[in-house]
Amino acid sequence: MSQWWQRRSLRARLAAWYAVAGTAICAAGFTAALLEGVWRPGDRSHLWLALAVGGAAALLLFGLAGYFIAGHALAPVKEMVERTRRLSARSLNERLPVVNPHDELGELATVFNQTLQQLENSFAELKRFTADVSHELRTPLTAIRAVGEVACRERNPAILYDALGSILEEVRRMNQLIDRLLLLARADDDNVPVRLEAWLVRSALLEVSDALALVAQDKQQRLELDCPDHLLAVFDPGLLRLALLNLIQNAIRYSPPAKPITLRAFRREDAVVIEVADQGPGIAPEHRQKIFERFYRVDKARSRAEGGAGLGLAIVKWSVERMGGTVELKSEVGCGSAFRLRLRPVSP
Amino acid sequence: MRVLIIEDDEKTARAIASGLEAGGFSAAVAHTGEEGFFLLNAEPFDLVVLDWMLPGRDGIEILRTLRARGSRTPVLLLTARDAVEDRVLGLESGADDYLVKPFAFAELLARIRSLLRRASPAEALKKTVADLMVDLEARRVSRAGRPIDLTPREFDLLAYLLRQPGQVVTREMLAREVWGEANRITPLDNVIDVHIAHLRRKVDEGQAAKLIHTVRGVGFVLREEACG
Repeated sequence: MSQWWQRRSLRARLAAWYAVAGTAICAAGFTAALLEGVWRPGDRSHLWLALAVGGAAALLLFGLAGYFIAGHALAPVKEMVERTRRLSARSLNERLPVVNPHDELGELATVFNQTLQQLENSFAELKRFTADVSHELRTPLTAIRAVGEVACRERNPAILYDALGSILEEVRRMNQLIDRLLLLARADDDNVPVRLEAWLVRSALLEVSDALALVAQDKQQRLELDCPDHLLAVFDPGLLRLALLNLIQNAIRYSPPAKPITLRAFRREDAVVIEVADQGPGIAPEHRQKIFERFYRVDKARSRAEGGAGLGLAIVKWSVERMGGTVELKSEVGCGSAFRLRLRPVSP
Repeated sequence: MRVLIIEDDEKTARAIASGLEAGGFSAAVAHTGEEGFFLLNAEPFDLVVLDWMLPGRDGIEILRTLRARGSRTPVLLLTARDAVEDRVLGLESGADDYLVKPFAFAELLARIRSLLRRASPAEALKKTVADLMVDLEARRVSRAGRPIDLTPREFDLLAYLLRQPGQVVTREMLAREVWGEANRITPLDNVIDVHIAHLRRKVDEGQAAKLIHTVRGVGFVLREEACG
């Protein structure tokens, strides 16, 4: 019984209390009036007295019930106010106490705590992101500074020229990093215009594979294209090219020489699927979830040496989602990885 | 050719001015919109390099006033804003070209030359550099009389280098002009490097005088003399 009582909302409890008290007083008054009537028929003055006493008692009872129930139910508010006051960006791990999860205040506290949790997560994300960005920017800056300072003491023009070249290379790297970050930052508010229309998938794939054929060939790799001639899908050619160039260059980079890379497209009932598959080392399960996150790298030392900042797949994911599609990874360690883009089909 | 540079960052302005002077232009610098406007009224210029964000009157305002007064001096707008709407606003306000900061100086120079060249007669259809002969119409290439077989992409690449003789060409310029890629973040560096390597093998291998040179950190250049 007490448990049932606890699970009601504040409103229901007050209403229940009032109903019980009201019924009791009515019954008492009615009984009194009835008894009076039997006792002294004709004399109504006692009836009025009974009503007056009953009314006063009712008011008193209602007031007391309201006072205690509301007081009990609202007791956590003080604590909530206190804790909310202490909240700041620095102490987002604070949570409000949930005294009774079933009443209004409990619900409020629960929702507030969920919001706090989300805020805490985004703050943590932002913090991590800022740390990653600073690190990525500091790496080329360190190189620029070191090369520049050493070059200052140099008198040999050939070495000076070389130092300048090396500084400019790092500047280019920073430039590209900032361009990518800007794209992703803008992506967050979805302001980048897209041109979603029906296009031939094959010509988009051919364009990308033509551009990369020579790069693959230099690694004795082959790009195999398998796509029906008249397959249509809804996409933005620039965004799809961006996604595919990133994916195929990754495949070329991370799979060993002489292993083919397949570029396949086919129609499924609800989507057009484009698959980029390699026979590289594959991606271990613990990385698969995180691989689309910004700055996430499976092999930190290696990909940085090759100039990557860990933004390629984040850009792939963003560009595919911007076209209303999805991207997923299927991978088996030792056998290879396959990235599958699902795009909106053109209804026949 | 006199170029006016209206740019509030002194370092950038000075670097552009001395780069242009080294490229055979004469350059004047203004650091604020008012100063630039005053100079434009006082002396004639063949081209204006205009920064968008300026203290006082901003670049767009100056551009609009200039155009409203009927001036046709070519204006190249420099800006850190690269959203499409900004680009459109810039061009609609009367800019002839638009370059996003940070830019490669080689690209600025190429754009300035091309703006100044716009009125000039059509280019020759056959070009030569040292003993390299390129027929742009028939798409044929030969070196010292011996024909070289190029893929279409390699030919476009060589033709683009050839149109900027002796000028450094950046990877961004190649991505945009040869591969038609408008988006700066599309990763084509690798692709460009590999194509350059193949082109170089076909054009320069076994030759005493190398023609295609890499300028480290900047890009590539087609010219006769050897250079680091």
